Amino acid sequence: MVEIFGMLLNGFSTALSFENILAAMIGAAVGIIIGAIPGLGSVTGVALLLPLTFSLEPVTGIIMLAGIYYGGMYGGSYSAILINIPGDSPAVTTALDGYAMAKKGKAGKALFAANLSSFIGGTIGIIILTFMGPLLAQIGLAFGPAEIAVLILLALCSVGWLLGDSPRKGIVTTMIGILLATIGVDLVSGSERFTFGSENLLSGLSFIPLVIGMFGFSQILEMISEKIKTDDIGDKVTLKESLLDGQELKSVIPASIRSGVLGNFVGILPGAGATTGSLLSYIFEKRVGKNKKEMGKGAIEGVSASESANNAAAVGSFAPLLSLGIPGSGTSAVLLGGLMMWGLQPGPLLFQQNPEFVWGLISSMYVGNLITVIAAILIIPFLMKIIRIPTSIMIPVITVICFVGAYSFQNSMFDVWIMIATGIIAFYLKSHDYPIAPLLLSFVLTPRLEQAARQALNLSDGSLGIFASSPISITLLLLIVLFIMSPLVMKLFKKKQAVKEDPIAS
Amino acid sequence: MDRMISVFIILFGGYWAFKGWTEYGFWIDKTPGSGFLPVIIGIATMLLATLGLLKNNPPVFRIEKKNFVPVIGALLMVASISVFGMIISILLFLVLWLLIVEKFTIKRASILGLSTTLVIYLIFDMVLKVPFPTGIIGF
Repeated sequence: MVEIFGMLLNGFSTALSFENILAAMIGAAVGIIIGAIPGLGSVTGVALLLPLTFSLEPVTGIIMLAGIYYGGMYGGSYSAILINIPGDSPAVTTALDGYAMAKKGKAGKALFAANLSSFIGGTIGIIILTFMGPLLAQIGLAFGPAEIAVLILLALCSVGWLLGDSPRKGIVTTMIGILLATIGVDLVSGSERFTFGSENLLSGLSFIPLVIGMFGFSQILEMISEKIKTDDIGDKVTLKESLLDGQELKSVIPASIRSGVLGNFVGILPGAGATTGSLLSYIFEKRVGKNKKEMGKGAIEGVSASESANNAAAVGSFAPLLSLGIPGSGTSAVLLGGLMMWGLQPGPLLFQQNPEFVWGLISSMYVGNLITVIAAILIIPFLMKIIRIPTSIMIPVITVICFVGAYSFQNSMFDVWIMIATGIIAFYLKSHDYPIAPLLLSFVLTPRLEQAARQALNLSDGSLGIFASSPISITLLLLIVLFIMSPLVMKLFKKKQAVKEDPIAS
Repeated sequence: MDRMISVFIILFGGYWAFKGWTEYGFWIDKTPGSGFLPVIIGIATMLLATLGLLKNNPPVFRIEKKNFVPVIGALLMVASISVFGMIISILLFLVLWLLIVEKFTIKRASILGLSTTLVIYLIFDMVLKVPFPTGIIGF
């Protein structure tokens, strides 16, 4: 415990340097703006801005990207509350009560509650990360190749897609990501695979153009037919009328704390992410909250539950990312790719080998979360204007950013082609409800999965028994079975409920 | 379209599994070869995508010709780089898009196009030192 406080204090000396505070401020502001723009989310923001951070020191770069991530969570609530269009998927549940409040003339209060709850959720998440990160890393040190392979498999059986409408499509995109990741030189044998004779593919499909194509360019293709109307945004929201009274604070704070803890726990689970965190917390609040009857009709607790949980989950996803090298969400998968490009290998050894990096990042989150909440409240009038930027301007501008971002990664036009091709593929997949985040997650994790699985099989002379030879891997295998069975169990449960509610129809 | 996507995924998985088995080797000297993962995942992908052939679900959003206008724009930008260089191509793309697709006035399209190109030039060329390709006219 004392050691953790010591490390945290050391981290503050890194986090409080001028360039890192500036990076946190820029990240927070960009994140809030991107999050507030309907149709763009934190994953798109991080993907588009990743190339810009390569010229920075790794710790400064990751502080900026982390700022964009949690800033995006704050920003997502603005368009959800003001125009009933969530800026990002984790804010979907915010729209349910937030927009209802706005229609009752309480937009300012909804925005203030969203920001306050985001701050509470984020702070809970950071405190838990401070203690959970080193603990997970300690556990991770006991992992051999077999345990690592099973852990990555568990991450790929992400709760996010298992809880979705079509688990089969989630598994298919996960597998497509695995197959795409096998392009290039095989790290174990040194032989070329699936390069089609192209020198550009020897080192595999480039991560940055792939991410920009799948999340940025595909989003543009989608946005063109969904031009969003922003005319019905109210004219002004003043800070004075946004402030919450004592009664409202009594409703907001307990709901934020409950949801922050639950959201953070969900965020720590591999692959679950902020959307699942906010959804589960909203459902939980609807079951246990004092004002449960009003939920969905403009209850301030609904806004708080959703916003606190999605911030706590976003921060929570850093725990498995930093300590085990397993991203907890689509956005943290992009961050993992960025860390690898800086030559850092997230995992248990990161805490030992690069403590100034890890603790600098964690400490910067305390500072960044405070900066973000102040910025989010102060720039409310400016954000109202940003949300009004028509998609007719955003589409060509973001197309150019995708183009230049993909090119600038290796100064190669080949990467631009990759960006365009993957953008079209992702657009078609999304149009038929294939989720893209699992593809990215598996693409990032496959090299480690393949290496660990083959190493383990080499050690055991080809015996699969090695994957169930330790208590850790047996526990992880049981969790995989549990995750895979969960959609079936949920289907049965829903059927049973339907029969109970309408016995005649069944 | 849903079935078409499933067919493409089956072909994709099948190709990976076939090449993995025939060229890269599934199991060599009691240890997994380079084709180990492609074969297992390729076959599993084919099987799961085959299940998708049973249903032809409607798209979650409509795909129209206009969805591909940015693709055409991006391709034209790639083609014009060899002549005009990247910065001028970006400027042309932005101005022409705003004029033709969004029906902006020439004044508004020019101001927006020039300011966006200037910001991109300052960030990528001046700050990040990205060497943008030049065309035959020297930009």
